[in-house]
Amino acid sequence: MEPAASREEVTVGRNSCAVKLPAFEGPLDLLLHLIRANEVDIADIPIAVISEQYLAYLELMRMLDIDVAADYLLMAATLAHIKSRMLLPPDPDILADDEGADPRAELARRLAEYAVFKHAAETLARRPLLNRDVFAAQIDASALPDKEGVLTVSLFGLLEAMQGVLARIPAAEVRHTVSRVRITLQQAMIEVMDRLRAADGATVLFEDLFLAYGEPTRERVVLTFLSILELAKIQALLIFQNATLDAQPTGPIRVRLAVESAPDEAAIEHAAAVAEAEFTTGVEVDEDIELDFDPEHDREAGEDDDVG
Amino acid sequence: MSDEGLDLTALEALIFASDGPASAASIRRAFPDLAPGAITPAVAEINARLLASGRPYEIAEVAAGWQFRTRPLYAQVILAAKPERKVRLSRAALETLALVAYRQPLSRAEIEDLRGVDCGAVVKSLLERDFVRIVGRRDAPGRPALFGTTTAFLETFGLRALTDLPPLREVESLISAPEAAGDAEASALEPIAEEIADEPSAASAPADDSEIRFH
Repeated sequence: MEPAASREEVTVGRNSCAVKLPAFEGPLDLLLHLIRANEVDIADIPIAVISEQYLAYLELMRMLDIDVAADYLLMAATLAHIKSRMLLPPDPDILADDEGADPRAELARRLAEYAVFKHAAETLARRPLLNRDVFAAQIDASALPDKEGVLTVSLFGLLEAMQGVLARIPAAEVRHTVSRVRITLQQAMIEVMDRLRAADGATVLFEDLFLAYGEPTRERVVLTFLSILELAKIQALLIFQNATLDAQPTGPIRVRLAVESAPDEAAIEHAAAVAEAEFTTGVEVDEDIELDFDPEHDREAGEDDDVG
Repeated sequence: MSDEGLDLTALEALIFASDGPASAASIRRAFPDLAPGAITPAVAEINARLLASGRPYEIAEVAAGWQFRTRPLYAQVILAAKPERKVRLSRAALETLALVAYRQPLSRAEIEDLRGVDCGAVVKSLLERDFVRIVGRRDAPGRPALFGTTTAFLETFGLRALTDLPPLREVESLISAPEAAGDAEASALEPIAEEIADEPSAASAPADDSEIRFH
């Protein structure tokens, strides 16, 4: 791989789209290729030879206008560093230690590990893959009886289910203790999302969303209920219920993640901030206003406040 | 034949009409008196009949369930009719998926450390395609998300469970060592080889160097 000699050929080839370079999945992949091409031992890499070829390949990439990612440059620096350390006489203090004795040990470890997983990936790819080699019958989801979106749950159904959950809370202390919210709406929303993600696309019973988090206090239930409503508002989840033949909602309410529009955490954070501002001020908040919202502060304030 | 009371034709109908791999639980709902472990031999019996009568499909055991799947021989004709159905996995996606599958749960930083490249885009794509999911968060600064594989991953790769993953090969059998490495450097590598290889070097066949590429 002599860059100076192949320059013209490469340029011409590029214009006619004739150059075919092996594509590498990163610096480790490229190094592994060079090690195999030179038939050297991974534990005894001739650093000078390999780093020279490595740099020549980077030069080739540069000439081909391929973006040389920072990862490649970092590895080039690592190789240079190892090479310089190889030139130094071994330090007698660390000679006894196997790991420290050879400056190439860490690189060899990473290469070995990468080689194992690269091979594992190739092995996996050779399996008969669904929708590449083998096929299952496709079922039109819209033909299924409980098609979501059409049979949405009624507001009364939702409130009824909420009453059911609240009724299960032991009505113990009627003492009027003023307790601060221990978790924020945002945290509750994230917990609901985590719970739904754990279901892996399957539906979760509406009631079950309340059971997951320790003792169901009234505030906890209310927060979870609000979370579900807020998440439904930003279309992060779908709430549905079966219907009888005359379109009367019936049976348990089920919730599942909306696959098409999974919101990122920023969207949840924003929705929670807007909602919390609404609740605390009682005023509809213009969603465009920047909110000074600090969930960390709320949480910390709540932690040292024990009701019992 | 494998089980006295089990109606194989009925079991076949149940699996046929299932909208995904039919779980043992759903099969048990239909056949409450089924002896434990009776499904596998029953399915094998159905498969033997399907093969004998030249059917182009069979029942595969995937993701803790049973599902009808066409035989690989018919991939070409099915894809010719509906090319957009083909699953496409880049090498980057495959490598990342392999890492997540064997090392889960792990964070994006750990994936990047093992692959030596930025993996943000590929992890995002795998999340969107439902091959990996966030299984938790590490109790560390920044609470980094930990990734694991999904049921869709098992279904796509035809695995019954994660324990069904092919054992990792030892490094020595993957990298052509020109001579028996008996020097000090080789000994430094051994602990790693032991850590990552599940299987003793029973498979000492030379590694297949042919690269697999899908685009």
